[in-house]
Amino acid sequence: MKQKHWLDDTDAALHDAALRYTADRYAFEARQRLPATDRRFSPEVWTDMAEMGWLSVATPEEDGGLGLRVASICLLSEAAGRALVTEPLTSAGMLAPCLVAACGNDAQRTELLPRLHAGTLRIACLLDGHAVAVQEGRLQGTHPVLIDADIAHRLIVHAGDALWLVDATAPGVDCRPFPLLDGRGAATVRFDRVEAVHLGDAAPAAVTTTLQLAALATAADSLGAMSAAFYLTLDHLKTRRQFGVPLGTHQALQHRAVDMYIALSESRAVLDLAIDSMQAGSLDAARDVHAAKSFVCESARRVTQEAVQLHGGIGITEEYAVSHYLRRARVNEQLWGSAEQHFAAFTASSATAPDTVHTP
Amino acid sequence: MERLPESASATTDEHAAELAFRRQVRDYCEQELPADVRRKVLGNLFLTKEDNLAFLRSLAGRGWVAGHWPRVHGGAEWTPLQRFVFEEESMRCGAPWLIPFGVNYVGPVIYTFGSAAQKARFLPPILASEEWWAQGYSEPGAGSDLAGLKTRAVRHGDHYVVTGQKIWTSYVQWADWMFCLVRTSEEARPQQGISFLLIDMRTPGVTVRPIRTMDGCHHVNEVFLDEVKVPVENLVGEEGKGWSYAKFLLSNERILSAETGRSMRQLGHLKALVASTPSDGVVDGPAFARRIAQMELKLHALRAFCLAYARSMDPSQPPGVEASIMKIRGSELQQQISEATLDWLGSSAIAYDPADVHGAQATSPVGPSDASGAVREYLHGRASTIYGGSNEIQRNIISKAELGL
Repeated sequence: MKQKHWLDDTDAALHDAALRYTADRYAFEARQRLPATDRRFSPEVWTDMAEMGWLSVATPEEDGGLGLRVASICLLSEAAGRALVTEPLTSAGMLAPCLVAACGNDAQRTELLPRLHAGTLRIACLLDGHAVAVQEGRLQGTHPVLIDADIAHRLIVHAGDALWLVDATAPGVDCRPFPLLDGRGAATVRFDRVEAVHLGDAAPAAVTTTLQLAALATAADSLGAMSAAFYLTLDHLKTRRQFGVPLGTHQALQHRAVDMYIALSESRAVLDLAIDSMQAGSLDAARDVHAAKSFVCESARRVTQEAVQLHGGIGITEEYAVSHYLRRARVNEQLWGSAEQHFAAFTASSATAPDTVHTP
Repeated sequence: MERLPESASATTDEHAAELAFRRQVRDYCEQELPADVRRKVLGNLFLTKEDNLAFLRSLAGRGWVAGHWPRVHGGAEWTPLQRFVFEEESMRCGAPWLIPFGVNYVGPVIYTFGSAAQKARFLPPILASEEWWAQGYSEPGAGSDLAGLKTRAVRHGDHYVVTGQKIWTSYVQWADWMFCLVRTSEEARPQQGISFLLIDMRTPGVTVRPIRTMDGCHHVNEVFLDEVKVPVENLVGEEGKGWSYAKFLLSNERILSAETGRSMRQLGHLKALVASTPSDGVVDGPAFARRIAQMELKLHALRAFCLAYARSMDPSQPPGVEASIMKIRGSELQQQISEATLDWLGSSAIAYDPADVHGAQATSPVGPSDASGAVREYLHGRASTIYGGSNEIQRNIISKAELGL
């Protein structure tokens, strides 16, 4: 198929750099030898990502970014999923700059954006809008699992129809970090009468779009994980011999591999359609994003589970990458609206689609 | 958000053109497609030859009988995207499945590989819907393993003498002509030594025997060929190269097989049924609603895949494994929708008199009037994962061609 029309030279450059960097500097086997804390977050890697422009793809050019680039966000996220990147690319690298640029006042944009782009400031994003309430002008409530809050300097909190900016160590903020099952990290964050400042002073209409970007980026991440797991499996089927023949000579396994490949191919099409819709500002964008998050995550779950099964014993080990893809896909399903929630939202939006032809 | 960039104007124009063409197709279905034919399609009734011809003739006014053909041969040179949009939108809005043997299959083979005389003789009657074509491929001993075909054509001077048997020959009972794969020599590889012949159905020695399928309709036949004399000028292309022409044709067949328009129509039909008619078969309403929603998402994914393919494919190249993916997913979805429809209809969907689907109006012994049509769609739909290269064969193709297994 020919080049997708919405990929430009900047995308191509980012993509090339991402493939090269993750192959050279983020190889799975080398990372397995690192201590757990270094595997969670590496300041050197984060600085490299900043220098390659990965933390600037969600900020308009007039605010010092590369533009709010939906396709770039997705192709970097796909590379991150494929390489099992644990640094907080989606939250601190994309969503926080996007929100600050869209909502922040001049002083906030001037103060925060250069540091976000340089990777010297990390902000976790609490966007669901229900976990935290505003009582007498202060934040009150608990978010049980906030991704990347374990390593965040600050938090952006969506509460009471506004966006708030708060220091992660401010009085009344209690952050209890823990690892996620795929090597990334999160924290339970409690807010007890926390004083915070507004991020900008307008109601955050941008939250919806940012959540769409988050869902899309996460779907792209799952696509990367699913794709990597599939090609590892294909390789295994070709090289692993039992009963004197390669596993892949058996039709039962060939057809299972084909079903994985079809799920992967369809997932890519669904994701691309959503990227295209979102970039074009299409009326269908919300529906297409819901479809992408639920379809890709569901496919990634099935494909990575199948990948573990087709690998046999080695598939369930810590030392081999395929189980890491299964875990990555499982975590992604729950981020930024679960696959199930996006499925429900897709269904609700379909109910109004004018696709019924009645008998004349 | 206010700062999302404007999309590139080329894509906006493309989308606008696609929407405009879609609207034209819808206008055609509402204004020019004969209403009685459309009613039958929407009721899933059996279409007669006359119904099919009336549909084809109604397309002629817009030059859409063979929209994807080159202009020089009487087509409109549709892009792959336009062709997809036509197929999808027309079927969604109640146009019949365009029976492909003339327009989609033999026509392109003739204008691609045929002689000037063959083009002049055979293409105009296809465009004018004056000659009906059938496809003589499968044999009793050569189904999925098509290259194992045994029907022999022996050259005697200026004609071939053809002897053998074809089976599953769709609508050959209406046909004036049948294009046929025959063995003209025995070679080491079964794919070699096959030739592509055009056979006049009125030739002595041709006998058609109907095969009734489980929907009680007459779609397919056996064709017996007993020393049938076929003039050598009815050989298409080179002797012994028939397999490559057949592959060209089969890949053309698969590209349309997603039939997203049909699934959109049937899923819409199911949703309307659920909204209008209580079910005595389904107990768990929310679970059934979820089943519909899952089919909706599968349809969304299939459409995304087809649209991406149609927008990017190079029509001068044979379709890749994408065509096999569309065939697999399209046929699976079609079957899931019709299964769910019968589940909702419950006990009224075990009543079935084939006579009810052969009339001009939908009637059923019990339940909604179009229940019989839904049953027919379900029964006939079991064929979709078998014909055109079964889904198991499609998986073999993807495994070998794309995955290298």
